[in-house]
This record gives sequence, C-alpha cells and structure tokens, in this order.
Amino acid sequence: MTERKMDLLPGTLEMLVLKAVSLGPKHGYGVLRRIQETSRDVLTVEEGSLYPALHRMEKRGWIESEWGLSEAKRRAKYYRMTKQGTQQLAEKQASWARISAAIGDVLEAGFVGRSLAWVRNSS
Amino acid sequence: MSPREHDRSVEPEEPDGQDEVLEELRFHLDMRAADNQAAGMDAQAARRDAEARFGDFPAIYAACSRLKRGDGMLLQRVQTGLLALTLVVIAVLAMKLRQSQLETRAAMQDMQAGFSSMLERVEQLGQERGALEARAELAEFSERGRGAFARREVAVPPPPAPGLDRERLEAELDRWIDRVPSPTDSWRAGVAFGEEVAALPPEDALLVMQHVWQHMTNPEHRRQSLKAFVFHGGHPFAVQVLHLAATDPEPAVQGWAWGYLADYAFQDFSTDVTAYNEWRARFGHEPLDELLIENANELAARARELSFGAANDTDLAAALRELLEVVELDLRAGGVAEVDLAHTLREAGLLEVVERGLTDDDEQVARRLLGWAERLQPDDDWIARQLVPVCQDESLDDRVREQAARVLGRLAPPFALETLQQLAVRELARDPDGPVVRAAVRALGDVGDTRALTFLIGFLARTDGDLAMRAAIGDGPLRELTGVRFDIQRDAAWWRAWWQDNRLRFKSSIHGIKIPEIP
Repeated sequence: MTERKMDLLPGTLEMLVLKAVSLGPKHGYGVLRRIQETSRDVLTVEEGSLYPALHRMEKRGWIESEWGLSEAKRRAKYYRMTKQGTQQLAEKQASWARISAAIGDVLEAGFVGRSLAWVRNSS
Repeated sequence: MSPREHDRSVEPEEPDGQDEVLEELRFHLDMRAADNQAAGMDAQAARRDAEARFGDFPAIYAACSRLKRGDGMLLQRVQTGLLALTLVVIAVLAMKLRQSQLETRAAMQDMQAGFSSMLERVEQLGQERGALEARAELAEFSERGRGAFARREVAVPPPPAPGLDRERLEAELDRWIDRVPSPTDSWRAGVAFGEEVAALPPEDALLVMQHVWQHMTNPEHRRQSLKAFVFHGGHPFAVQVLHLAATDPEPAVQGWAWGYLADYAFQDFSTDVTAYNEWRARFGHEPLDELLIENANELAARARELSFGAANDTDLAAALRELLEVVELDLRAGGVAEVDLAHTLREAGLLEVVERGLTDDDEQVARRLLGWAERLQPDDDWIARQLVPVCQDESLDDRVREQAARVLGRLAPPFALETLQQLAVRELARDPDGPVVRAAVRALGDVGDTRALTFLIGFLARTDGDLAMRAAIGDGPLRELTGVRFDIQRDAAWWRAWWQDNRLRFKSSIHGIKIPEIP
C-alpha cells in the first residue's frame, strides 16, 4: 500500500525550512530530508525549489550560511538560524496556528453551513 | 553539530560567485543519487531519479544565481546611494515612500492569493485524512507479517546440480558463514559480500546464499547482497535468490524482493503474495531465458488486451494507468540470459500499446509511455512516425514534448540532430522560457554528435542574456560534447574563441549538415 503524498500548502515552505534549521545547521539536502522524515514522507517538495527559497531567506537575513564538510566529507553549504529567523519562525507558527484553527472551525461547522445553504436555496 | 565539527582537520575552501550555487545544487543531486543507490537503484537510474525529483535544474540554477547576483548589485547600489543621499536626500526619501507603497500593495496581493489557494486545498486536506488511516493499517499488517514469518522454517537447500562438487562446497560453507558481514558493518559490506558470492559458479553461489542468508542478521546486509544477483544483467539464479528475500521475516527486505522480481515477472507482488506463490509455482523451476520470454509475452498480451479492449478514450486512459502502475519495464534482467527483452516485447506488439497512449491527456501516462518507448528501442521508422510528431505537436503538454525530445536524443536516430536543431529554433520563437527549447538543446548533447557544436554556440549567442539557457547549454551539451567544465561566465564570445582554437580537433567529424538559420 502506498502512502498518499501531498504538495506543500502555499506559503508554508519557509516556515518548515526555518523549523528544520532551528534544530541545528543543515545543508539543503538535510533540510529536505528533515521535512520529509518528520512528516513521515507525507509532505513532498519539488527538491530544486528549496534552493531559491533558501537563498531568498538568506537574503532577508532569516538564515545565514557557511561552507563546511558533510558526513560524506564533501564540501557542503550549511544554513543556520539567525535571531531574525527565530523571530520570523515564531510569527509564522503563531499565524499558522490561527489559520489552522480557523480552518478547523469551518470544517467542524458542517451543520451550520448546510443550513445556510438550504436557506439560500429555498429563499 | 556544527558543520565544521565533522572534520576539523580539513578546512573547506570557500567557493564563490555562481560556482557556489552550482556546487550546492550538484551536492544535492549527488546526495540524492547516493541515497537512491543505497535504496537499491543502479547508478544510472539513481541519477535519473535524482534529476527528476530535483526539477528544472537550469531554471533553478538561474533563479539562485539571480538572487546571488542581486547581493552584489545591492551592495553597489547601497554605496552609490550613500553618496547620492548627501546630495538628494529629499528625492531619495520621496522615492522610498513610493517604493514602500508599491511593496505594501504587492504584499497585500500575495497574501490574498495565498489565502485563496489555501482555501482550495482545504477540501483536499479532508481527503488526505484517509492516508493516516492507511498508515495505521499498514503498520498492523507489518506486525502480523513479522509474527508469521518468525515461525517459518528455514529453507532447505535444493539438491546440488549434476556435476557440482558438493563435498567441496559443504566444506567451504562454514568458511562463508564466517565471512558474512558483522551486524555493525556499513550497508556497503552487504554489497561486497553479495558480489563475492555471485562471482562463484552459479550453482555454488545459490547454495552459499541459501546457507548464509539466516546468518546475515542485519536486514540491510541481506537487502544489499541481492544487488549482485540482479544488477549488470542479473544472475542465472536471480529468481531463486530473490525468493530468499521474498520469504524473509523483515517486510523491508521483502519490499526489495518485490521490486526486483517485477523485472522478471512484470507484475507487482507487493500487495498480493498469493499471486507470487502462483507465479513461482509456474516459473520457479524454469531456466531464466524461458522464464523471461514467457513473462514478456504475457505482459504484451495483457497490455494489448487492456488497451485494445477499451471501449473509449476514458477506458483506454484507465487501462494504461493500471498497466503503468505495476510495470516499470526495466529490461536489463535479460542480460545474463542473453534474451533481448526489448526485441521480444516489440515482436509481441507492445509498441502498438505505447503508440495508443503517447498523446493521452494525462501527461504522466504519456511521459511514462515515452520511457517505455525508449527502453523498447524502436527502429528509425517508428521514431519518425510516432516520436518526432510528439516533439513537434504544439497542442500537447510541454512536459510531454520535453520528455519526447530527450528520448529522441537518447535514441539518436540519424535524423535526430537536424530534428532537434529545428525544434530548438522553432521553440525559441514560440516560447523561449518554456521547457521544450531547453530540452531540445540538452538532447543534442545526448545524441553525442559533435556536428552540433557550431549550432549550439550560435544558439548561445542568440540567447546569451538568458542565464537559464546559458546553464542549459553550457552545463549540458557543450560540456558533454567538448569535455569543457561548465562556468557561468563563459558566454558565446568565449565559446567562439574556444572553437577557433580547438576546431581542428573536431575536423574529421564536421561535414555537410544543414543547419537551420537562427531567426
């Protein structure tokens, strides 16, 4: 049986990247694996699209990079969190919590939604 | 862990500029390919998968480079701005105010678009809830399987083949058992051990594998040892060795068996072990060549029945999807048995099934069938009749045409060079940022004919301002055809000069081909 995979919701990639690097310096591939592993492979990212996002976030000062050596003794670019990034992550997480709670409310409010539709259709 | 804590004795050099981007992206591809290989793919498939997962490399490279270049440009602007600030403070402030208004408006628009898109996904999210339930079911199934297999008796090795020196082999078996990798050894030890065993005379190798299997207590070693029996054209007793994995206590090891067995049976047994038992009862004792030919013929017959039995286009698409779901069509298993599986499948009419789906509305179906076409190695006539029109048909999905162009390059019929050059020129006029034009120039590298060099350098001159195209040409066909390392700074002028200095090296291969004019 194959696990169904999902593309990321728009605007969530940066939050997930920040969360991944908040746990310690990681190269791009490490960030990707972290996202896939912690989501148990449910969330998928077109792998290349991660890099423009990383570079954009670096430019904004949310993360900073340093060249180091990977586990395979290859030169790799590692990203680490900045203070600004920590603040961004906190803001994005709070915003996400608000949005998902609001979506949850909408989904739970099935009866009200149906009633309103019925009222609209019958009027 | 700090990146430098991996090895403090070696300080990495700091790459700079565009090369830094290239190195970073290549590192990603290499890591993904290495992980794929560790998961059982051969090197070529691992690389191809890594590239497919990565997406449009030149476009991503160009996007990162633009951001990188932006840093330098920003610095210059800041310096100039500081000087100008002392002279025209009021003007700058006014400009900043205007810029801020525009940015705010853009940010508001982005947020609105993001919210709309998010709401559209809410319904999909609800559907995805099923995935979590499926995961729970799978975990339960795995646990049940583990318990059942733990009670399984150890397989008894079959009687030795006639003429086999059984006594000598039995004396050697203990030595082989002593040589199985230690449980803490890396996964590579499993590969090396499998290769060592597979190098024995075939019957001996099978007997050794049957004896040592239970002594490889690390499941990763058991999986990795299979590679030597299925890669590089396979092994005469590959199916028998894979049976060890198919009846292994670890579902993860079984998973590899199902993946490899699909190359012999053209069926997916991962969800139907009964089907595997029936298949094994039919084919388990057949010589490999007969097994492969019979299974290939059955696949072609099944595929024809499914596709030609379809009442309409919708049924046909569903039939093709069903087929593609279970068959990868990796034909290398025929190598050791000297069976030309591509020929067998062509003769059995599989290309006619492929033809029916090349223009399918579902781009994934069409693209996967193009992969089948490549592996079936059709003749030049088929390529001209079926594949070239897909490259040229502007009404088709660009992703399908992109794939068709790459397949054309890899199949490399005599007319590939001219067809791809014409395609590149036409697409440059139609959609210069689209994927087809880049695929066409990259495919010229796959054709491997150095007569394409003058065309490529001319094409580079025509598109020199486009960084993505410069990467597509420089890191693709120009590197492949000339052996010259890619450098983003190398523009058309640099290549023209290089060509002047080096053209004599290619003199013997430069002769009359019609080069289309670049508009």
